[in-house]
Amino acid sequence: MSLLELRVNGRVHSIDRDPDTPLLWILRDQFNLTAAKYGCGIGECGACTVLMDGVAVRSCMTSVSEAVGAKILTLEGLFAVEGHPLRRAWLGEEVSQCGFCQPGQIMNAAELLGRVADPSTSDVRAAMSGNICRCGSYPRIEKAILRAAKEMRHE
Amino acid sequence: MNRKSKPQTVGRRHIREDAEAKLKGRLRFLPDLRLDDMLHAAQLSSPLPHARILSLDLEAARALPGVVAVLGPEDIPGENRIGVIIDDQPLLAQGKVRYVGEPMAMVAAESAEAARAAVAAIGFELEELPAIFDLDQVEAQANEPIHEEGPIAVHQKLRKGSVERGFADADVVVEAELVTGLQEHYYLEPQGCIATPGESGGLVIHGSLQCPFYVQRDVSRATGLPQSRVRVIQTPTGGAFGGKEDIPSEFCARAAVLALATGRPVRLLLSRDEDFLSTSKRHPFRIRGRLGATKDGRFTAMEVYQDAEAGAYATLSPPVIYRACIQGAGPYDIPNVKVETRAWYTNQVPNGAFRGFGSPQACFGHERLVDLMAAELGMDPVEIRRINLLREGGETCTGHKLDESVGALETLERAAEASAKGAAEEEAHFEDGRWLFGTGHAAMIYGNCLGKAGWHMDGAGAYLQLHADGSVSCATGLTEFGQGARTVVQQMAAEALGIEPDQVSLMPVDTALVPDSGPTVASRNVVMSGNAILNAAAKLHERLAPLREELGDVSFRKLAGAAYKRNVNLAAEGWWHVPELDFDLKKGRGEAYFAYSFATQSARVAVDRITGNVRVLKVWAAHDVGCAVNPAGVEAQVEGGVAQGLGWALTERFAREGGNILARNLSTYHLPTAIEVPEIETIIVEEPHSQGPFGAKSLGEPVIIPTAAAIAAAVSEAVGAQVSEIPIRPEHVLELLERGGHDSNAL
Repeated sequence: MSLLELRVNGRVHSIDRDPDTPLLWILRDQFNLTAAKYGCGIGECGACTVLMDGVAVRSCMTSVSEAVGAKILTLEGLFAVEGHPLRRAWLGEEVSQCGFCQPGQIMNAAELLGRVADPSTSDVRAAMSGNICRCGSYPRIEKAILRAAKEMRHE
Repeated sequence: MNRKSKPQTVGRRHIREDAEAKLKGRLRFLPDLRLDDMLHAAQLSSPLPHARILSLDLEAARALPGVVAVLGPEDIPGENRIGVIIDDQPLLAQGKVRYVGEPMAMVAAESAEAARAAVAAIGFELEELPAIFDLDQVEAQANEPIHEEGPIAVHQKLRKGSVERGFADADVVVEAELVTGLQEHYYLEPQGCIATPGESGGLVIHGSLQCPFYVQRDVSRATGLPQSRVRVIQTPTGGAFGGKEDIPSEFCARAAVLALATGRPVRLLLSRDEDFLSTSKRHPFRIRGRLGATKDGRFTAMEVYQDAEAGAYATLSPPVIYRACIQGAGPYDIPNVKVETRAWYTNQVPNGAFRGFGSPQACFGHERLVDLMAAELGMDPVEIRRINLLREGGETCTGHKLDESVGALETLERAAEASAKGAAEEEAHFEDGRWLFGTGHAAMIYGNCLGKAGWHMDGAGAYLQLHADGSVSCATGLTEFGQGARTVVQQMAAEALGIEPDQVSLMPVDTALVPDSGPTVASRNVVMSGNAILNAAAKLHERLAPLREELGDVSFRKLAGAAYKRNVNLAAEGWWHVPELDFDLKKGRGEAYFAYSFATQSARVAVDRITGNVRVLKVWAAHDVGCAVNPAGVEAQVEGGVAQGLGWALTERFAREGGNILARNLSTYHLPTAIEVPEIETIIVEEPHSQGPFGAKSLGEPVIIPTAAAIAAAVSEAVGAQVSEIPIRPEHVLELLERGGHDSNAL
């Protein structure tokens, strides 16, 4: 155990945990931020994706010690302010099916849009290829991301 | 019944009622729930595929810190049995284990770590027995039978006319041997449940599941509690695809026994690895078939033998086998048909329900035969289907004369027309010379709901409570796990009452609210819940009629308020069951299902001549859904089904070695990603059925059924040789290329 300071969604938390604990379990069990999901535990499905200093990471494979000092953003934080373009686009394109992979998909999309203002279809597909949706909503996810990108460019 | 001439809500696009909650991450899935005082469960799994259990020693595990209960088969208070149809499966293995991963004992502890440590401390001795691993070996079971009753778990036959006569009448006969592979559901949310002891001695179960009434029955059986003291509430469920039909019952029953033994809530959550290892898959099939036709392409006979691997227990093999058999010869009007379908026991994790229940396998069989025949006759694959597809007044392969709602031909014409335009835009990305292109088509028939074999549980309830402000609470017994059914239910309730959908609030599915509505499977939800809602709404309208007469043209809100003040009973329960079916189960003759959905899908592919890789460029999916209550939902279902069908056809190779599963994660089992799933064009065909609510028919399973067959046909056209096995592996494609006369060295 050791005392660690984490910055999550703009708030600073001090926790006493094993520094090797995956960030996912700290977010879920300690902070009750349950949007990020356990899907595989080995960084393959993307359901646990959160942002660390704007970079998408698989929180099931990121030890909490690696997260110290970084600005951590989860879906709860991203959509805390009403009217995020990704939220509107997701609703507009009617993306959600079972919804379990969605928080991870959206966080991964948020990273892409933070990096690339005008992504092409292949940019989107390549960036999103590590986030599994077994309901098969990929075509809608793609449309939603392109739509949000357009809105963010004020087109 | 106050049905307006033109529907106001049904047929309009609706955003899912839970979309906002899902977007905010606020929907609480099972792993997101925390209960005070909750214990964590873990299971001891058999390391061997077939063995006698010589001893099981639980004492050392019981002595470990944090361990509250360690239970073996002797500690189950009720029956040590599980399962829906055939009574061959224990809740915890007793006497013998029959597959790697079969649970032998279970633990409840203060933490998940303590539970795992206790499992590791359980002592046991096993004596290994000879095992049967696949369909190649099933005939050898006489040595050491997996079950005393014999090697075949289920056997279904279908006979129409005389195939001997039919083949004698044929000018051309084609034959094929076909193979389809296993498929893992990989719902994103692994299996999980929480069992909580109630204050009055009963149990409340929360779970990620499809069939709360199955859970209620199996928990009651294992615990010895009456069903009335077992309440099951479905939590929002992160995907299921059939994998959460019967499977959750066993986890819920184990958690329930542990909760009763400890007097505390018990949570059982599977890791992804455990889920891969110990839950059901799609049955692999071996199909041998013959098709006869006249020179002008009219089918005279089809004969199909399907052998399926059941795994160690029968579980849901009966409905899979029934459906595969009934639909084994496809959506064609053929005078002479013979189908025989058997499921064989092996020492593998039981195969069970997976979207389509044997239909995608059956479809791969009949559609490959049809394409072979088209090739043999030099006929266009669309034309040969056009000649033989069922029409109104035609007879299905079980001899069921169809008087209405046969959209088969329209789906074919529209998919063929749309796909004829090709996918030029996508093709432009593939460099000249290296890639070969092909288009394929596949048609299917899908019997709605459970059919004759499951008729005894093909009823469903609904409950509508009208409030004084004109809003409505609505409960049904069938579940949502991503299909969008709740939104459709909301729309249908609104339409039936003449109000806006946002005035209808849906309750979670809870066995305490609605009578046993059977399982949420076989694309039953919209048809069954819709009809039950119409039944309940009719009762409300009848009770409101005198007031409506008295008050004249007032708003629904005012009418409800007035009715409330007059003590009118504003709660109504509805019920609907599938009409009686005249069907001979032994011969497979008659009305197998009350209604049928139809579809044709077309696929355009590019095949890499150097590597043998296949890329699907576009899929056109034309589905006869009777009535598209929510067209947005129809499109989402189609896209998802096609994506899963694409995976089954191309990427999802489920590797095993003996009794061990090698596919344990996404590195060893490849799901389609954003890169592989192409543009999918949904074409909605509406041939309403008189018994469907607003004419609606089943959709959720049909969407996956023809995809693999269409892709196989497209690859066959591209390479000039016929695909006979899925998943279509690159090395297989290279062989086919050689057979098709393509020399990759010439590139």
